[in-house]
Amino acid sequence: MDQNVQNSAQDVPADQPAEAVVKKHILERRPKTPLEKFKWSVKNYWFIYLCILPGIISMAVYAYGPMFLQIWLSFIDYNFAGGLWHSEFVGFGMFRYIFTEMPDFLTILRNTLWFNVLDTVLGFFPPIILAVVLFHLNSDFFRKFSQTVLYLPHFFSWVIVYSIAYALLSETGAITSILKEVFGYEAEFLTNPNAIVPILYIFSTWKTIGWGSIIYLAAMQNIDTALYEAAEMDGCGPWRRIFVVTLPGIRGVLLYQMIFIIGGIFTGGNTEEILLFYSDATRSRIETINTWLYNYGLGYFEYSPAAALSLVQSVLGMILVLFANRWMKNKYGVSIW
Amino acid sequence: MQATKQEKDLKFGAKFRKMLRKKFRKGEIGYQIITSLFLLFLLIVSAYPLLYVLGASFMSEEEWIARGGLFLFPHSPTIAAYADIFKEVNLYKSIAVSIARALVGPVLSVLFCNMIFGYALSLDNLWGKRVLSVFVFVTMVFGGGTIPQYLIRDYTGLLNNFWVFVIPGLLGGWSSLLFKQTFLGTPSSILESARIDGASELQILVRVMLPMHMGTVAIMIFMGAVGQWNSWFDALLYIDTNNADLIPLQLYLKNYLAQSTESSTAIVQNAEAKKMAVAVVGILPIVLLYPFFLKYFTKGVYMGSVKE
Repeated sequence: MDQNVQNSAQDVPADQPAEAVVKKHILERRPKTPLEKFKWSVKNYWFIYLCILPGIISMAVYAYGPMFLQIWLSFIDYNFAGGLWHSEFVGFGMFRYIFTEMPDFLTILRNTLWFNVLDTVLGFFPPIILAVVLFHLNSDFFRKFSQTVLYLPHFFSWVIVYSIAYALLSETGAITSILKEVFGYEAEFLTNPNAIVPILYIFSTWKTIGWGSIIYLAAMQNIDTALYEAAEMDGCGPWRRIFVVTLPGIRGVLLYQMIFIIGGIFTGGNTEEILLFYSDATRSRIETINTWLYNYGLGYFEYSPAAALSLVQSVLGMILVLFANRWMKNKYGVSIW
Repeated sequence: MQATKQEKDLKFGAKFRKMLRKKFRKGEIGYQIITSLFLLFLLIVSAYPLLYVLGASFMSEEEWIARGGLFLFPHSPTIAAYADIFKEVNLYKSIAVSIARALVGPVLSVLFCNMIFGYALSLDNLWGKRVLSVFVFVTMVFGGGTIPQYLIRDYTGLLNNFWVFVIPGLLGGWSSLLFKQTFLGTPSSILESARIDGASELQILVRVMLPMHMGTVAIMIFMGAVGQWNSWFDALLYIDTNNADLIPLQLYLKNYLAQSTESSTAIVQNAEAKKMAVAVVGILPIVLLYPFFLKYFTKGVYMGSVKE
């Protein structure tokens, strides 16, 4: 309801029937055409429009600006002499360059996809397992305490996570020292190409497991308790109830999260984390599309190939999200919008 | 009402205890013991690194050499490492930058942009509402990419400028849509009565909406502040490496860790303990504020992520 109602309520003649009053004073005064609605809205809400203007401008410049600039950059061969407007226009040349000539392309594509496979396996299941364990726990105190401890790493920056990894795994780190002094084993972690990907995933799981479980816990709270009672009546044990009641009960959220995971196949891996753990020794295993954009695109001024690669990445990501969303919607009735 | 139902369901341990009391079913105790042990293991694995970092920051040089880094808590704690790191004037500068970011950023973006934007989207008759929704939603799906973002900041003069931390992120898709959902949950009778009493739209936002949804606002400000405190990648991209006046604490820590790696005399200079001390300074504000916001987390994240 709006201002109209309030004004019209005052000049209502007392002797008219209610329907006629509503028709005359409310329905007929309501703005109908788009122009009227616009005028009404500006008159009543001009201050609101004024307040949201800075945010809109900032978003237009810093979110939409890069989107359009990226498309333009990927069709020219950017150089500093020519700048944006006088560099050579190469059409699809940059895309051809990426797919046929770029030396690192296959490596970074392989690494990105590999990261994402790990993301699905190691990133998707641990929060679910944790949520199930927490949900079926009898002790409220123990649950609250665990949640408090396990949510905390989410609020640390990746630099902190890296400094912890450094404290534990560097040459002088705790785990390295234990292995050396107790088992006499000279271990190498942060500069070992074979160990770096598992290390990255152990630490990112450490950071995200607790926070990731919140969404599943919230969904589990909406499961009807009667289902558990019924399952118990039918002779369902504590392990089995997880698979017959709890997990089916949060199916919607699980599928919902799956859509995002499928959509992230070409994003794969956390850029900030990888860049912190990055070293020349491990480069061949952990250089992904995103880190390449930073290390080579920005570092070696390869603006146009980077823009083209980034455009391909986001278009593929978009297509995958749409595809996954449609598939999930048709098959299971779950959609992210 | 929705809230009371959720609050009731929050005590979800109770229903299992009730079932347990009714009949000690076969396997339930075994199940509880096994999962509790599993959780205990997880807790130890989670907490150990933090305690280790804390302990390491209080280690003395001699003890470090004597024990070879094999420890949880030091035998003779010392604050030598803290005394050393606070001799660096650049550390004070980075702390100042991080605090300024964490205060200015969330106030401007959450209170003056996201909240008002969310409120505008929740209004019934606002002209152009649908266009605005799509406008923010598109930015959640599409990103600009590293290079164009860098160039746009360059063209608008934000490189090597404090405002590069604040202005580009003023309006956030996720949080303004979350505010919209929150405000839409306000009972319409309250809004109607406020309007009949002659409240303007801004008065409704400040006098009615803000007190009613204080939990959401508080959590959004906290998340914004933590995000600002924790970010370092934007400074790496947009601030000159030797511009010490604008290096936030987390980037300072990153550089500090890298510095010590290259030095061959690291142990002699007590570098390990100093690095851990800088890390503790980076963690401390979050750990201190964290308990006050803990109770809002479940609600806030739940609203943002699950679609009914």
